[in-house]
Amino acid sequence: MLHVLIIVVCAITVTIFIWRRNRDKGQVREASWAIVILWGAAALQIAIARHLPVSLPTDWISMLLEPIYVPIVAWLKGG
Amino acid sequence: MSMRSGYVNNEITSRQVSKLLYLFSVGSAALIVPTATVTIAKQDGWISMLLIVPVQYAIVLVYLALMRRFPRMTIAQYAEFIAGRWIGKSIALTFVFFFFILSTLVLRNMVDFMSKTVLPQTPTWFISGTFMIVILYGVFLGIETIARTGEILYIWSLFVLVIITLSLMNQVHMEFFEPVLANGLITPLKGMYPVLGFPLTECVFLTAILPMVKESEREKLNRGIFGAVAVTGAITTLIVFLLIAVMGSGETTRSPFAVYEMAKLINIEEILVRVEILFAVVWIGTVFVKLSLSVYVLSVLLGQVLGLRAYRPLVFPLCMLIAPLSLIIYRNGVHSTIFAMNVWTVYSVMQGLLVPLLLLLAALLMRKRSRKDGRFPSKEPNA
Repeated sequence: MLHVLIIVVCAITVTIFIWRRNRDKGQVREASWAIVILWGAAALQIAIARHLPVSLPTDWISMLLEPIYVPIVAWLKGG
Repeated sequence: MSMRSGYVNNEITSRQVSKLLYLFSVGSAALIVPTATVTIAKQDGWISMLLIVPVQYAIVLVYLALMRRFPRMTIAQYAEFIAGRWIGKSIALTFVFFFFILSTLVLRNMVDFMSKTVLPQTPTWFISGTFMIVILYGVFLGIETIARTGEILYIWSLFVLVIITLSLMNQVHMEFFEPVLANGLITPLKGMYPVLGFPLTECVFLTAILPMVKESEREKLNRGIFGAVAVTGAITTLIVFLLIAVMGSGETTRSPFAVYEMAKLINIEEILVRVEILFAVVWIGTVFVKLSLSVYVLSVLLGQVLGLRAYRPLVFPLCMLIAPLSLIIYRNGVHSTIFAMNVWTVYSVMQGLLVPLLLLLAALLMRKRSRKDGRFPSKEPNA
């Protein structure tokens, strides 16, 4: 649980920093998106730290492209 | 340097672009791709690397043709201009995802190399995190800073390659190339497959970098880029040639980092030995450029898709996302080999060649061109 606590505290600190820094420059929209991505990153870090199952983007790509790459690789190996 | 200097830091020269292209192409591929090519083409692997050069010329021509029609816009912007707002944004998002995955994979390659060879007892998260801090700073400072760093690393990479080549001349075995073209031209053609995706079509990063080239430098751009393609082709062919000549195709296929293993063999009268770390240093430098460019392009394209006025606020959160994902993106070494050598090529060709080609054809058919300046404002909004 210590991992989670550290990640959450860091994320809150960075969120405050990003918000204040960008608000002063009139970049509210930029700050909002940065905070959304930051909390996504925090969620991923917590998932990794807690050994939760994470769906890998490499698996999504492999699954989508299977009909194309499988015949090509078969040809490369033997055909 | 001022923390805000990056805002006016968005113009580069054609010479810098050509050096970036060379470093990006040689980048992480120099250490990994020769093994993949030799695994397929065996002793004819060097012919595969020669055959790939015209293909790279053709791919680069597509990017240059797009740049001529939309000189100051990135692929995210002209995709929207050509295909309409929502379809264009969807196309741009596929590029955002592509560069996100590319950044993760490049970081993972670097971490794998460091943890297997140079720093075996250091935790991978530490290598990944510290490297990402450097990338974060580089991307934050802007394209001009990355390009200037590239200029320094370019000279060093060529210098080290010359040293390694000369030092290995006493170990060349020309009989390792026999039989040449035993199965005809089909084997070297098959050997081109991994190189097509890694790194050839990854060069789609150019579509986001070319708008940053100075107006006065555009005349020289074609010559610079074609020169970079020629140098890259010559260097990669030389690397594969040396690998086969020194280690033989059998030994090359057994090592995941064959070029590093080859550098270990350098021994000039017991005086010049253990120079492989020199190669590792240069390789890490080229990976730095490749990863910086990937993260830069990712931030810029995402900023443009979201309609932001600056890409900088996104850099830190994106780096925070890339670093942990790089640790789990591959389950193990086998997963890494299968994905990088089988799947990635198809994905990279679709994203790096097919989509830009379709956009170019659509722009030609619809007679669309624009000279609108799509770059981020050169001054910070409320600075």
